[in-house]
Amino acid sequence: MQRAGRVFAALVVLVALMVVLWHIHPHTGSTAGRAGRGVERAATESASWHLAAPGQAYSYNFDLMARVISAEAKGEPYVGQVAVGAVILNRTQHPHFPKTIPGVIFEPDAFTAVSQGTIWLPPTSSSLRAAQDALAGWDPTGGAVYYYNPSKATNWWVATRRFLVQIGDHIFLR
Amino acid sequence: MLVLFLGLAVFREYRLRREIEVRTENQYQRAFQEVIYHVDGLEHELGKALAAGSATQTAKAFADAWRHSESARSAIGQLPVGSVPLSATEDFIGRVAAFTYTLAQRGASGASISEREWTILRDFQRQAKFAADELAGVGRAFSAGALRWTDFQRDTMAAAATRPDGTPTGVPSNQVTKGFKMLEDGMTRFPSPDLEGVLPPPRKKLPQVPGPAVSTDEAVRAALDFLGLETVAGRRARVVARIPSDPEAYRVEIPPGRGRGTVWVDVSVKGGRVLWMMDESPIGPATITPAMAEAVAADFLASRGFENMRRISRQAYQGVAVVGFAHEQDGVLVYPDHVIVRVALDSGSVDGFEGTNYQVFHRARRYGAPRITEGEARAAVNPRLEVGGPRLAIIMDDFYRETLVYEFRGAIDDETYLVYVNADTGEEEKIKRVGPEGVETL
Repeated sequence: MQRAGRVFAALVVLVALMVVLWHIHPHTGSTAGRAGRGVERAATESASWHLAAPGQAYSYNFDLMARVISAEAKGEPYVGQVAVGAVILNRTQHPHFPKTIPGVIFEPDAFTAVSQGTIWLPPTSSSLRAAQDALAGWDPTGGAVYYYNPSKATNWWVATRRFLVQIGDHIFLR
Repeated sequence: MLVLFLGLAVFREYRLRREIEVRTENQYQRAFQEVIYHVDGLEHELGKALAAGSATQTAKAFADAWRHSESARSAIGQLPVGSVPLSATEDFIGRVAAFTYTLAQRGASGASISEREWTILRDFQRQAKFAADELAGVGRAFSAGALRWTDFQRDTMAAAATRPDGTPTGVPSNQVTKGFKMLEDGMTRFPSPDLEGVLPPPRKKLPQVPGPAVSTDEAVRAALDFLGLETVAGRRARVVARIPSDPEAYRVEIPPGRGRGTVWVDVSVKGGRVLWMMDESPIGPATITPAMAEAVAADFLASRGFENMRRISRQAYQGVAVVGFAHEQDGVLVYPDHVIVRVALDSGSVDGFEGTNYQVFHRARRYGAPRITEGEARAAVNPRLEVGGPRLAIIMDDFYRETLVYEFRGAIDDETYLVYVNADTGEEEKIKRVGPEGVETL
């Protein structure tokens, strides 16, 4: 009887281990990078009086942006949350990235939150406002198309990018 | 019994995982096959454009080539090539897209292509052929080596995330990475045709704000003045960063106090003007209405030296109202000189501002009287549009060129359109669709 118990315990541990191993990702930490891309930022449309209004395409874009901000910049200062939204918008204007907000967000391995599925958690209320502010025209990054968290991820591509500013834990580059 | 049960559970888990992997793999394979297909198609259409004699056939080939290049770009964006540099290939496709788009547009008006453009086209076609061949080679490496994108993705992501020293050598070497590297190296060796005079020039960076460079102390002073603060109790307001943005800026951090949260203000290094400002305080339940907020925003601008500002848009979301204004000079609305002001509906005070364009472009403008009359301008507008009386405005294009226009506000069904007619040539310059509150719809 005792032996069966031991075998059972061993199996439970084994299964638990396998489940854990299956869910571990090789990359962690919030990072918005696709290597080897991007040279110069095209000045964004936020320059002209470009504001967004409720419309179907718009509300979908806005919700997606809020989700990415919520998952990528949780615990960051508010300006840092707007900054993540601004990076998404700056990418849509950049020749090396897809032209649409969903295209930028769902580029494989572009955002850790998308790769890991955390964007499907409900967005925080401040991220909803931050997404709107970014769409309205605020860009606290000075035109960044990349950011990363140096304490969580070290990516070789950062050395090839121009440093713009650090906000909270994120370093913004272009 | 137990062992059997656990075994089944493990097996089921394994099968599920495998199924998901196969699906992901199929999506990547599809995207990659689409890249191959569209680069191939691009090469074909460029070839047809080379051979075509009539303007119609040339334009048709250019239009198809443009469609293929845009589709190829979109498909590349779906590949897990995070740590494989493909920038030369992407640059090439982007350039071809711009080139073919421009020529397709021009061809629609019946113009043929010049000798120089034909030579550029031939260079592009040869390069596209190279890219198509190399991509097909990578495709063969996948099928021959039974390689999988999902494995490739795992390897490259793991390698990319652990390089501490900035060298891109961490990408594992296999047939696929080798194939991509051959493609990239080859693409950089092709001559890069000079497109000047063929394409519209690339959009320039925003210029600096006019005026001499200011010190960090002056930047802090400008930020405090803008917020209406004499001093800050406790910790000092200070410049925390100098940002090489366009225009270059000092970032001023003002510590929280007297009902404010931390406030961030960017002040231009040249000219010392406030580019944008944002208060970090969380926002509580509203105590004022968005309509009241509009007056708050207008008063704020007036008290900060922004004169003759007219409201052009307004929206309210998540406890704030955001109101857009543009400067008016002698009855002409100057759109380049615009700002947005954010008002917190809980405290009823201004907690955000964005005026980079205003600070860069604002000046007293000189423009002549419009050469055409309102009536003549109206003739350029679609007669099916019910338009309201025009007003004169200055609009700016992507290259910061200003044009004096008549702005007509028209409606079809419930949708509002702003139609801009050049006040000198009578040409229809631009059409904008806006929401009821003047906010442009995406």
